[in-house]
Amino acid sequence: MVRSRRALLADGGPTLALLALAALLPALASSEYVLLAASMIVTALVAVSFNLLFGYAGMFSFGQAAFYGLGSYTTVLLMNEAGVGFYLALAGAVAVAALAAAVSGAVLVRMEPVAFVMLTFALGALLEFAAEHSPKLTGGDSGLIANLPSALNVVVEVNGVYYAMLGVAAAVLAGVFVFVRARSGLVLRGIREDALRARTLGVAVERRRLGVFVLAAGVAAVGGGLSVLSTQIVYPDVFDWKISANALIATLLGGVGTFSGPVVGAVGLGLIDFYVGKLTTDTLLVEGLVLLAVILLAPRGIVSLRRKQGAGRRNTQAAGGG
Amino acid sequence: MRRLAYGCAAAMVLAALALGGCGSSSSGSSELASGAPVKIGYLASLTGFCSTFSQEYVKGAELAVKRVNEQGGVLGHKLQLIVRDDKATPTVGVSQARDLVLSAHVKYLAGTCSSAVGKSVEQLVANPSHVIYAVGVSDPTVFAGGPEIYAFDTIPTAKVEGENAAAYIRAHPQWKRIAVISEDYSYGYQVTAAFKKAMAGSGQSIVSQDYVPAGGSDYAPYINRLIAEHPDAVYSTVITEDTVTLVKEGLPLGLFAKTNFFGILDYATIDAMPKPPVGVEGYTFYPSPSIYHTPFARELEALGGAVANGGAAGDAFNQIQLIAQGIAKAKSTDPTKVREALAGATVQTVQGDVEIHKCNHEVAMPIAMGRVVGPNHTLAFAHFEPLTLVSTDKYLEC
Amino acid sequence: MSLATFIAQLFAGLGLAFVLFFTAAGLNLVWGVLGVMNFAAGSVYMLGAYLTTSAIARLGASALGWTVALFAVPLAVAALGALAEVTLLRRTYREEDENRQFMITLALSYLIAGAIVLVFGTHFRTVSLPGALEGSWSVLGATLPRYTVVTIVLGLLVTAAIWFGLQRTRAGLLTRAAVDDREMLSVLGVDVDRLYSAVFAVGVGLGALGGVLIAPQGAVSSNLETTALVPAFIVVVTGGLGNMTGALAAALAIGILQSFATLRDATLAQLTPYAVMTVVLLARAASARLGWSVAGVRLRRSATARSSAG
Repeated sequence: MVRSRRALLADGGPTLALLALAALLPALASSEYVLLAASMIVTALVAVSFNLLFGYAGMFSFGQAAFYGLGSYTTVLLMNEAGVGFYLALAGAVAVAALAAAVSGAVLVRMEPVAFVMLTFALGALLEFAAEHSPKLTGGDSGLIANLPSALNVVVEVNGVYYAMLGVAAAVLAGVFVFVRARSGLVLRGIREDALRARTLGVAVERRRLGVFVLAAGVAAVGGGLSVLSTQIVYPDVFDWKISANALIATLLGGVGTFSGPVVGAVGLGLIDFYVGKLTTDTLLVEGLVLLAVILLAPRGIVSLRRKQGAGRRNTQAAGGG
Repeated sequence: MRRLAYGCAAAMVLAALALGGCGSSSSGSSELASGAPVKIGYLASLTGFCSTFSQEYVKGAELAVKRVNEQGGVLGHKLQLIVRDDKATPTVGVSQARDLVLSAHVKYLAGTCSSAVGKSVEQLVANPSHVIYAVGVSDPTVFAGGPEIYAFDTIPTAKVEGENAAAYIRAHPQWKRIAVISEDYSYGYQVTAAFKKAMAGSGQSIVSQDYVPAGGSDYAPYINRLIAEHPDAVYSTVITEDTVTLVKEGLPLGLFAKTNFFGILDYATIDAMPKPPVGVEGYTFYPSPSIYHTPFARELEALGGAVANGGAAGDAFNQIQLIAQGIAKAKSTDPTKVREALAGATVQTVQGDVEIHKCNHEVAMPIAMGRVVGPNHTLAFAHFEPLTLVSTDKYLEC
Repeated sequence: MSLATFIAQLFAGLGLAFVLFFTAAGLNLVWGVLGVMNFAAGSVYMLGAYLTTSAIARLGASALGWTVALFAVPLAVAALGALAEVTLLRRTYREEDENRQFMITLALSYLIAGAIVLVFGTHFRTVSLPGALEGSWSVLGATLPRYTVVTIVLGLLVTAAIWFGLQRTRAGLLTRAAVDDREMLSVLGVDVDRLYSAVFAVGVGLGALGGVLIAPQGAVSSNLETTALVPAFIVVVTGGLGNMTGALAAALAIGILQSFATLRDATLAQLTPYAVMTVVLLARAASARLGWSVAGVRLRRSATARSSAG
């Protein structure tokens, strides 16, 4: 693993560039674009969460939406019912999601890959069902409207809310960057390549997997909590598998197993959705064609377009094993 | 080569900005400049839950706009329809509605078939931004905010629907055991709750209460369960394509032979069935022109039987008409003045003249009831014969 | 519960199970043999249903019309599947291209759904059965719809055909071998490319067959895509990836359990597939850890996956 400044810049550079552009956005574009960027921030966080598991640890999770949704609902419930301020509610949401990940992960990370995919998916589906059928707690399928102070009301204070979201997201992304570039990231990649060998080298494989599972859940929960600022509503579809699918698409579009891949992919996906929606009502058809085109032209993701596929960069699916 | 990644990222974003334009203009005054069009933002659920009728809703809205404009518009302003897809989810619906209001400076909204979207748009966009919102959804809590709300209802709420059904069932006291089957989401829960409340003290007992998954492809287990309770009558609020599944599977299972079935059976749905449930008692409140013989109903016939008969087009037509007539009555395009003018006013709709109740902006739309017959000499498609129009005034709270 | 209710609900469960099985069987071939996690499994099912409505509209809802549709629609969709496989998937079977496969099948699902909206519009469609298949038979007091009986009989026939195909033909032998070791097959001189195309086509065709069978049961709408996709994955995983007998057993278990669960609590019964899958997966993991062998469970071994005991 190259830890030179060059490698660091290559890995984190695109994200840094996008963050810089994001910071300048309100001065350059109308609020329509600022709101679009806000939704990209949220998608990027869920994609990063997915990539932590899939790209780095080799664990294909189809249930990041479960933690995203827990983040959303917890944030709203803490604000509405307990009168807590947004940032504290967000912290609470991360705690709840991390706890849920710790408990479910204790069992899930020991499962073999196919079981892991389906059970993480089932977790999201179960939570969605529960949210739809618990109207007293969650408002059922009418959802809940967040009780936000006017300083955080996106209609009144578009830019203020946007910068709050950007700031939190940037902090989280920085944290993830440090994690993946440090030894912890190396160890995870080792587990992904060959779990058996890692185990014989003394790596506590299950503990590491559980750790990254909890971390990824926290990141997804931040995404969910921040989405409350831009949408002001929480509705059971925050648990929908399409959110997990979008995280997958964004990561694959941008480049699996790279730090910036999911971020770049989230921006790309957001732009595709936005413009396709404006240009045509046959959105499904056109989006399908665009996605197909991108994956055929850039099979390893957009980020990879800048370097050749050489030794040591195989984006494999989980290297199973106990 | 390394720079390419930065270049690509930057190029993407800059291209987006270039295409989108910069800055945001300040909001205009509440009265429209003369000659400027009255923009109506229409939320159509082109994908997702109720997409089946979305194209028809849009056609109905377009027809209404066309007719109003042919007659010179309203107060000298032409109507302009802007259609957006809300994907039947509140987050998208609110985001589209907000965009319409903030970027396109729309002061009038209409549409959505989803109560969840209607509720969020009403609370997060229409009321705070003072934008009139004509919407046909069944959730009574959307209109529970008192006369200050900017939303106006164009269909009976779930509460009205359930109470009307209870009145019908109670009119048959010989039916002792009643089974209820509804959709497994808030509409189903609300109708069933209102029905049960209105059935209290009737001496008739509700022996079975089932919620079937919306969009499900196999209701046989639910139908069997229902029949096993030996009900005398079944009240069904399973809607649109789910009714088709219920009827198709129910017929061979003896649902209609073994029980007295009473349920919501709108014309579009029964017409689409290869074998409509002939002889079964149904009701609908979707404004199919063939039910009402009003001038507006005749105008809808221009859309062709399949679209017009569904009722979705009629509902959208009514929503646009409500907005146009409100502006005319208020002699102003200011939404707050229009709101005052519409409260308590009588408006012309496909169903005839209806009064908008001041307290909650609900309208007492008549409910059509009757026995299903196949195509015959009266009408070339499945319909109710004999047909009764029931007034729902008595079910509105204020 | 009376005997009549028991029989009726058992039958309804079998009806559920066999429709589940067709989509699952198709996915099992594509995922279990080719290793392609086919996100378009629900879309081909939906496509099969929509094409059936067109076919019957042209041919009439007679016994002849339906017999033709029963063969023509799955064959047409299988042909489309073969085309997609050759043009898009053929070069993606190396392990590093797995991610591309996800995107391709995801994109295909969008394309199919989008094409359906373009051609058929958003309104739901309906088809009717030939008169002889409407109505029901009464067995021991239970009312059994004739159409459900037909579905079950067809299901058994197709299952037998699949079993025969896999166990008693050379192509089936090669297919089963491909599950274990693709490279060895090509070393032995088998045209693996063509085998894969054929398997993909059959898998997709089976999914479409499920769609043909569901079309007369209710309304044909875009809902079909999601109601088919998730249960198909659940059945395949519960039965064991690549294991046809397992998929059948899983489909039967889930269908019948769900049908009876509806008698107890209609709303919670919707969770039956998830519950069954979770129990089976956890039990399987536990037994693997404890070193027991679980009969009839054969997991797909790709070039990268290590054995679960490793």
